[in-house]
Amino acid sequence: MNTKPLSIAGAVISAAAAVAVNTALHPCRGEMAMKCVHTTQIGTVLLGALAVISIAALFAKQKALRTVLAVLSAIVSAGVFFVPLLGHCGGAMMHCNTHTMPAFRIAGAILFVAAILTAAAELLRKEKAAAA
Amino acid sequence: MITGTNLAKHFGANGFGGVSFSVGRGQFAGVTGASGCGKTTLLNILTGMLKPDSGTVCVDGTDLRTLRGKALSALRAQKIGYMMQGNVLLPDLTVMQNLLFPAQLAGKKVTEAQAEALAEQLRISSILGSYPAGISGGEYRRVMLARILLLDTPVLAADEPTSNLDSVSAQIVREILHARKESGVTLLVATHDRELLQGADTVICMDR
Amino acid sequence: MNTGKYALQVISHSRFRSLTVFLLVFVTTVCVFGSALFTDNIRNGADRIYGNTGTDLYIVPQEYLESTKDLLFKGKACMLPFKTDVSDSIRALEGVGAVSRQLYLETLEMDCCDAGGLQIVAYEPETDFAVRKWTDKAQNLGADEILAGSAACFTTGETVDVFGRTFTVAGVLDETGMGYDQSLFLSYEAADGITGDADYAYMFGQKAGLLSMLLIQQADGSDISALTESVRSTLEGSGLSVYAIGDLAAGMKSSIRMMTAAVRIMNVFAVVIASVSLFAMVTLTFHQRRKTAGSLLSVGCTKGRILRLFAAEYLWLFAAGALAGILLVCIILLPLHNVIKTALELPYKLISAGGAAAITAKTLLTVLVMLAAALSFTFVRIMKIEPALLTEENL
Repeated sequence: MNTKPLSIAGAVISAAAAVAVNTALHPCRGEMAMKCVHTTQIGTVLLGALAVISIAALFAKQKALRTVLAVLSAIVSAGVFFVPLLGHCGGAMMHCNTHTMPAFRIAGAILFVAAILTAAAELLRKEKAAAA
Repeated sequence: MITGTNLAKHFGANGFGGVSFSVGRGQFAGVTGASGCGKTTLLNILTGMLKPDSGTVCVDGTDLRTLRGKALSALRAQKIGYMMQGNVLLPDLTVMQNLLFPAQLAGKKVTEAQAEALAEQLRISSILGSYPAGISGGEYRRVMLARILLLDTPVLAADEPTSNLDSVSAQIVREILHARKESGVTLLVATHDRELLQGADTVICMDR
Repeated sequence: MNTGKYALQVISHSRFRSLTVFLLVFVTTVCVFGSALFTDNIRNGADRIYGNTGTDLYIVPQEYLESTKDLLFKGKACMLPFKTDVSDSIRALEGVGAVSRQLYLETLEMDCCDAGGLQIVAYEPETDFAVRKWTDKAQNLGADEILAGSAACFTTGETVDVFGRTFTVAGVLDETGMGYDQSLFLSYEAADGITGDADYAYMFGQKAGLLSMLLIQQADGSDISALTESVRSTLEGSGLSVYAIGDLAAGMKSSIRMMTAAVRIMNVFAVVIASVSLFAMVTLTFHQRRKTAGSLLSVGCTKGRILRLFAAEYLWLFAAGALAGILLVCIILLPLHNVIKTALELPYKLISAGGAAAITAKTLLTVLVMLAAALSFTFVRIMKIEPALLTEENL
């Protein structure tokens, strides 16, 4: 199975999520630095790293390297999924709880599944025979 | 080995009737005739792929009319290898997989090395990794023959085995078929190829 | 090459066909599973209300009836004041088992985002029978402690500043499916400290002992209709009214019914469209499949084996499509559970694991039946034709 589409999707989703949680799906904003802001900063860094890993996987030529990058993607995306545990505001109607944290969870879950599929596909794929 | 008695089959206005013959073990029976006279139909009836309107077919003493389902499948798998006229390779498998899969279905242990050796003989080694849609008509026919040869059945039926082949490939196919006959395989071949028919013990001429 | 590997080979080679079947299964699963989970969550929330609040009758101010419903079922923060405290006269009525008081306060808006106020529910730990249904911490709540609803996004041990006072979260309630999930709960003692505070005189008039709702439990063996009548008579002229939970939730019930009916209709459409598409797909590939069947029969493959080969292909696609569909629904609905609950303005409570398993089983069965019907249709048609004719010989 060709894993390039998964890598492209991973790069696009992580980049889009990183932009989204800092724009439309922003955490609570105010004069005080709220917990959710720090959490969002860390989450953004993780999403950025995921985008870089996905792009690197697109250009990786060796199967072993692609597999390692896929496993790394899975670990980082699990981190994105659990990043809300670092702290967020109380209050169900707070913007971080209605927009930002769900965005991390959904993006993290989708990216994790994509990473696992990529890793599985790479492990199952036979190396193409070298051209004669 | 194979006996046909008063065989008849009609499709609308076309068809044949009253065909009777006998082919012994290790013999070669050729079926010839004008296009549309029923050569393929006869071969289909003799291999259990089609039921006749009337008449009987006995293979090794067994009347095909008494066989159903699994028994008929077992006959085709173990006793009669049939190279059909149409394009019947499995489109989703590679050529190598098309060679090995039928043998596997028949419960026969055929190795890749055996398949490669036969492919070498039939000059199809270079296309073993290709899919049927990507090979020429001549290569297609040779792959169809190879998959039947690998079944190693006591009866080998072939419908136009040398059609679409260049002269070199056609000669190779003739030699392989004659060699199989010499080794005791019973051949049933429908063909226009006169050179191939030269080795036949019996020739059944069919008329429209 | 075994049956499974053959099926995978066919899937990877016939990509368009495989992707189409996968997408049909995926979309059908998302529709059936997603809609069933969504409507069952709503019904679960509604069932909670009808069977499980622990309260038989509610006394609320007539002019604030809609606000009460919004508070109870939608979690919309509000403040409801009684003009007259009728607790003692209600307690004295025959047929009344227990009476508990509740006060609803709305916090000031959070200045960090436009989230609106947070609902505070003050209750009497000594007489309460409603809040304790969802947490065992309700009976012993201290004056500096607070309980949080399941969707209020607070954790035990955390501190919360409310009305200039710091409270420690002593516990989190079980999910109620009602507006209580977005609320905070504190003792009447703490609430009196707030309402009696001069700083909030403009809101509460610097008074203690305020009241928003009286909750009544009927005595064992008493007649609820007679009790309701007797409470109604006692309340005449007070501006207060008595309601059973069914009366308060009457409008909501029809909303739930309409929503679940709409979702069911959408569901049926999705299944019908998917089934028709699948049958169309199967019909289009009939020609190819019959040649494959003829080819396999010619080399001695049995009909049963051919059926298994075809079925394996569909089973792989079914497994992948169904798993992907269920996964997507869970990925969307579970993290957004509290968001949906807040936005829906209807009771909404996650069903149990057993309930989810039942929905999963029903979904998988629906999709499997759809696939089996399509496969059977193809297979029966093919097997009725003589092997030679399958490969288009003798035509």
